[in-house]
Amino acid sequence: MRTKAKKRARKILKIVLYLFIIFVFLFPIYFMAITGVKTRAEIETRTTFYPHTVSMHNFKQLFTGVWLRCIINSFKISLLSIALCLPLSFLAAYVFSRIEFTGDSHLYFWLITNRMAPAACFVLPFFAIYNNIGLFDTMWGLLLTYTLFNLPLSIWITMSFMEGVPKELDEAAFLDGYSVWGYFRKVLIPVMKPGLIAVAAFIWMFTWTEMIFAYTLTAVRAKTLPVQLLVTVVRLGYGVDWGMAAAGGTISVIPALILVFVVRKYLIRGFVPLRRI
Amino acid sequence: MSDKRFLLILPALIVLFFNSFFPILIVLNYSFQNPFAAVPRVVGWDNYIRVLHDSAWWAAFRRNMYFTGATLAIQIPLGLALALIIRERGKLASMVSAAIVLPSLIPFVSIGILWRLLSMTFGPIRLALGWLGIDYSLMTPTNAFWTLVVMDVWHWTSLVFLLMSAGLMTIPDVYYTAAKVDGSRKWQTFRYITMPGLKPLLILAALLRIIDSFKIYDENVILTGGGPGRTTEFLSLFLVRKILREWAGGFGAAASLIYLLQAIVMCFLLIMVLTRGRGMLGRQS
Repeated sequence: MRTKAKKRARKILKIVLYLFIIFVFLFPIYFMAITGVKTRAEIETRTTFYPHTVSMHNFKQLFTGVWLRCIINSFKISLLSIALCLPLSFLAAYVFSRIEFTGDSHLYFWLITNRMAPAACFVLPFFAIYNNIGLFDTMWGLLLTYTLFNLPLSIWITMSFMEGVPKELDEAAFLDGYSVWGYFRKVLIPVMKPGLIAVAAFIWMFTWTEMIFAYTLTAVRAKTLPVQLLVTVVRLGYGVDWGMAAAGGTISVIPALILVFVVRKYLIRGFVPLRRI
Repeated sequence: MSDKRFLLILPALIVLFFNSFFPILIVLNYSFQNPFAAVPRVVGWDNYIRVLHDSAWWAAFRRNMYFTGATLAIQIPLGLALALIIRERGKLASMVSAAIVLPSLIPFVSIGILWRLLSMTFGPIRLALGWLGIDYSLMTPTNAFWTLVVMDVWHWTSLVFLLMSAGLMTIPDVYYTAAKVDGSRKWQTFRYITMPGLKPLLILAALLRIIDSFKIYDENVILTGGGPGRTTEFLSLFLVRKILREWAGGFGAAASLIYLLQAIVMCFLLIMVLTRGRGMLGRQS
């Protein structure tokens, strides 16, 4: 009897602990979301855990003017990054995982250091380069700079998926008379489809999130959502419109809420440059 | 025909060459002159000497070290503990791990914003600490620093948790059964079976976190902006301020390269741990 009661007590304790953990990780997000629908007076005068007066003013603002443009820009740049990086990294990952060549591991190391390097180190040269070749404040300039981090990342994730495809499949296909392209199109890409979707999701995530290059290389036309959020918050000498910042922040979280279900299984691969653990 | 396939790597390499190698050459070039001056001239190693004698640079470096140390000291045990607690499968457990993982997918800027909202004058943190009789405000250096640490813990414990969970799955159940049969106590099982199995992943997690927390920029600039004063200004913030606000071209270039070198050394250690001497691409070399 006593052990049974003990067991039940432990179970309840565990559920309480679980709920507490969920609370700790979700409450801040909840609080940001509700701050977005509070009125400015409410935000600036008292602490409330639910909006006493609901105002959709901030969220409506998001779909007009500069906010809307930034959101669209962020969408565009993320999709373009996928379109550029996914094919390039697929090819590169294929070479790295299937073919041995002189200096392959040094090349791979160089690739990984790019991803691990602090973005701030590249602020100065990028600013200099993109100003001089007329790509400052353009989508294309931003797209190119993002490859610095996106390509290594997507190459290593793609490689980790390609490892799951046996090399014998290559050889069998070539014996059957497939050309390299035919093999990619008819065999390898269909086999790797779930993996490639995850890679696309990762590219989306890191592009959607990026701020420091966007802040350095855009002014008006190509400004992205993170930069708009930054300039909303960092305003010296003015009152910051926290409701607006919260609403923008909430919007930027929504893709994460969707993606968490797509990439969760593969999440480690997005942070660790290795083939498998 | 196998040799020709090698060419498929070229598109990616060309793009990366333009974006990584070329910029480094530019910084290298800048670092030996004063590029934004009215009359640019070559100054030799002066910029490097100035960076290495700059007390503000070392102050930022020191602050970044403290920050990294503090976050590591909390994240690693916490992530490990969470992974140990949430080992079973089931709906609730899976929901808990989804909640833990979620912050790692949120844009860094939004992480900064939501913690700023929490730590405002009329935010929940001040209210909650008020109940404990503590007067909290983001405007003191200590509070700003620890708020950043807590934010980072909230943000990145997920990574440690994920790695530890993956590591726990690689330890065969047989070991635990054997330990039970031998009458091993819980902490003994933990000490002699779980810990050795997790050790490589613990080192990996620590290195990844060190690399990342030396890069921190977005959350830092939003949550504290380096303030109050410059008491929470970490390396990236310092560097970007020097470059974009003070137009210190030569100094910025030299500092960028020193900063980059530190990252490459850390990355080298990371790879050593990852491959355990098996060669970079897992081949016998």
